[in-house]
Amino acid sequence: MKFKKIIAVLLTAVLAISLSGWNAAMASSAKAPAESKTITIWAWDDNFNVKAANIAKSYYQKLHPDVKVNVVSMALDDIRQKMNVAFASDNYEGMPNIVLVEDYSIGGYLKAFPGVMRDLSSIVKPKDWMSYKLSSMTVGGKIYGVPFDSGVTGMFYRTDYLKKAGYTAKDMQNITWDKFIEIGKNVKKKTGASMMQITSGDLTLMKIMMQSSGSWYVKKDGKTLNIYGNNVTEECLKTYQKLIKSGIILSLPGWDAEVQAIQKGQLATVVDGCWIASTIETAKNQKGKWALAPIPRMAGVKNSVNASNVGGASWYVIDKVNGAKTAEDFLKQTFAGNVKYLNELVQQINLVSTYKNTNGFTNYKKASAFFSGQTTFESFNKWAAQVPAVNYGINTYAIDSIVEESLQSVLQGANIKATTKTIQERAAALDK
Amino acid sequence: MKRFLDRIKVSLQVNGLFLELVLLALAGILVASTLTLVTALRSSQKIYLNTVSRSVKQSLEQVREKMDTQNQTNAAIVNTLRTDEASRAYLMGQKDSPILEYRTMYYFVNMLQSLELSDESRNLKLVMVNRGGTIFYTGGYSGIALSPDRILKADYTKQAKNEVKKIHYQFVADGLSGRKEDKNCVVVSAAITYTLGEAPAGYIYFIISQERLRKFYTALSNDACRLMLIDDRGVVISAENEKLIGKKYPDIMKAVYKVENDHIPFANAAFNGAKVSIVAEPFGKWGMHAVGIIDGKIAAAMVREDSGYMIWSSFVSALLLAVILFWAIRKRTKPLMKLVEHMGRVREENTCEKIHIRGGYEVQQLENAYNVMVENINTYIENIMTVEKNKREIELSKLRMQINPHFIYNTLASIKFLIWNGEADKAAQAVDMFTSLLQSTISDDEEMVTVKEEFNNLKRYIVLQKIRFGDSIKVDINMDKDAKDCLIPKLVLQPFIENAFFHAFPQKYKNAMICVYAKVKGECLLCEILDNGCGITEEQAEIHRDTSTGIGIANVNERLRLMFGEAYSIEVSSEYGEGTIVTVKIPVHRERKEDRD
Repeated sequence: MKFKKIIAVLLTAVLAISLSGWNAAMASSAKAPAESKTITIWAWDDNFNVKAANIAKSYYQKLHPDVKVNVVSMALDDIRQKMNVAFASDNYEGMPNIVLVEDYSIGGYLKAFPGVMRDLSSIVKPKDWMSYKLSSMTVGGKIYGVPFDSGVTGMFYRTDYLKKAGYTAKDMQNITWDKFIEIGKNVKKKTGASMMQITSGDLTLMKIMMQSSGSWYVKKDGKTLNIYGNNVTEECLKTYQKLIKSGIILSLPGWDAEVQAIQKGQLATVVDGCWIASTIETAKNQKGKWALAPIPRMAGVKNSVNASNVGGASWYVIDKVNGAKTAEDFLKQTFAGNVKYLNELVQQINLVSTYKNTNGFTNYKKASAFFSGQTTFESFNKWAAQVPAVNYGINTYAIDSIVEESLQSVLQGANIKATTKTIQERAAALDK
Repeated sequence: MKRFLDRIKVSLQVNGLFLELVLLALAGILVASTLTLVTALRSSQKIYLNTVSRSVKQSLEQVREKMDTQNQTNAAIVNTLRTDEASRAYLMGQKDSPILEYRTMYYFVNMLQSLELSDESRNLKLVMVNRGGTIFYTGGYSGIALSPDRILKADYTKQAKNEVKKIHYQFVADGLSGRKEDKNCVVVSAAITYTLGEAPAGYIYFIISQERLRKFYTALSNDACRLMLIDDRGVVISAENEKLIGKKYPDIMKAVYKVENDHIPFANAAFNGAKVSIVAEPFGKWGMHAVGIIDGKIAAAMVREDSGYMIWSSFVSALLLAVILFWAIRKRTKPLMKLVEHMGRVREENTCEKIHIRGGYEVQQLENAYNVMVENINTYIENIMTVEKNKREIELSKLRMQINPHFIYNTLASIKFLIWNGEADKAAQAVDMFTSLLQSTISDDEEMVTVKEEFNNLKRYIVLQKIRFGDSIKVDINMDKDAKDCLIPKLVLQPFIENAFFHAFPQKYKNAMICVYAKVKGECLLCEILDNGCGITEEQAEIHRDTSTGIGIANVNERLRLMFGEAYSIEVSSEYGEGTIVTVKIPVHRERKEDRD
């Protein structure tokens, strides 16, 4: 009898404990979570983006020691994949507060997952930033990102090779692609070096040419395809054809090969985004043999300028992850117009910012010994202001692949207009 | 304390049989359950290892499947690169028109990209060195230049050159580049030949990074069993613990071959000083083995965990068995104990009683035998006691009979004396007294009378004596209130008073006096007869022994002995010339009834 009593008491105790535990759990889960004081940032490239985020972290934590900032370095592919999975399943567990997204890709996310990214219009004023940068992150008048690096392009060239071929710096200013081919032929003849490289699987040149002409695969609305019947597209394909046929191009299979070619001195020019400068600088024995000029423009397009943009990324806040307000404040105090901070980035990571007012950017004025004493930052900043704004739409990379494939038939003599029609048809199928 | 110990000793003696049986049974249970437990534990360890090694074997088979898939992918990539036209053009370094060159590159890259579609090939670092020593590579090596010399001179290139058709796998601690990301990788190498017999047009390499190697097994590895990859020489190629990689373990390798060749589930080996069990799965194509190392300690801990339950259950069942045995033995031995106890009491208390106990057949038989015996004994004792009683009564009455005549002589002598003196009245009174005295003594058959009655008789006797000796001797008779109804054998005091009358006062004494006094002291009735006469010396006492009074006192002595055994005393203390005190001490009896039993 006594034994039974003890068992009964024990059972009651166990029940009471588990019930109270359950109640406690219920109570805690019912409560709305408080604004998190810990924010997480995802970015790729340790030497550039991640470094910038870490410097921002130290800036912000001086102002707000109570906020914990986690900067996570992650491969671009991983970030893309994780975002796709999380956004599609509407499950944001383990996602960061702030994420770096390529300008070519962000349009797709903003369109497919409205409301996921936080509206940052209150901290990013259109007047402060270069309009070509803002266009990719603006939907319905609202700005969803904080612009980061500029992909403003330039033409880096080997002064020694061009001198050998009989050209001076003056001959390189504001040329057309036709002039570029003509110079290239001479350079090839005199030095044996190729004028430039084209890397398979990467349609950088196409994008540079299109944006310099103020045009893209889609129209300003980001939706309507703008390939067939677009003079710019046709001219771009034509220029490609001319460049390759001329024999001044070094065909390469990848990024690694491109770096190798630069280091080996196989190239007379590199036409690419400003960020390529630090790669060129790795060829230390070529110091002082490089100079910078504006990129060639499209002769066949009236509005074409000697300025363009390629690549670049911006910061976004995932609104559905706890801590979004803190994350917004973090960006406000740093990337979104803290000139002192941005100026430090110019020195630390060779950042070319897309912030319009460069009064505080004292580091822009520094001359580069590697690039023949030129003030490259000032040049880039000047050209950046000329970059025509285009809307990248949502399928840039997918259409790139189609264009590259179609280019093969153009090279074999296919009709260009007919080819653009095929491209447009296949691009239209992407959305279906 | 000593008493307590004694009690324990006694109870141990009494319960000896029971304790012995219980201890024996407990010892039996203990031995049996320990043996069962040990056997069960040993077999459970064996069963555990068998089960674990079977599941580890399954895990290893999964690892092998993953490696197989990787192997197929590798073979497909190598095959594609060997047969693909763009690849051929690239490797042979064909120089055609710029357009063809560009197209070659496009298709080559496109082909490479298509290779990267599966999980097994994504992010593989592909390296190709063509006949001209030109090196091409993808992914992850940006910013540095790989040295074709270093690669062409390496072992893996030599292997590929020697066996051009085969795909070679080799663990290389510093990889193709010697950089951190290549550390501890497996280099896959193959030669590409387009014309049989000619030197290879180029070589293909790619790297299976340590991270990727780990992916083959990490998900299946756990604390109880660590999985790793080990090559034919016993060198660890991939392990979760970075420190183990590159180390050689010949002892493990011995166990691996034993498992693989003898087809046994596991073999024991020493691993970094610990006892482990090895499960292995060969992967001949790579010259590797997927190995599971089962931690002996964890296995033992697992068994211990199981054994907790086993120990508990055997403990509980042993306890239960012990309780049941205790109860059963108790039930069997308790009647026996009772019997023993009962018989012990017989010895101690001299009583023979029948016993009524319940028990098994044996006990019932014992009980019956005992009871019959007790009955017989009791009958015998009763008989003996009756005989003894009769004998005593006869003796007593004989003794009493002895007194009476003696007394009668003396009295009659006294009466005769009175008649001689012509005192007819006194004589008549004496005859009256004598008659009533005889009535109460001889006619009444009772052996015992109350002190009061006895004293009345004494008074009559004294009257008779006074008639004989005159009033010169004063007699005082007294008794305590509580002595009044005490029982005393008839005529016990009379001889002493007679003695006093006859011998205490040989001459005329002034104030001659005899006092008789009865009182109860404790459990004893004391009767004192005092006189202030001449007292007696030792010689006189001797002389008197055989006189008539002497006979009377001896008679009293004998009667008291018969009635009370040793529980009486007669003391005579005398001082010559001062007087004599006789003290008769007998146990107190109050009711006649008691006396009769």
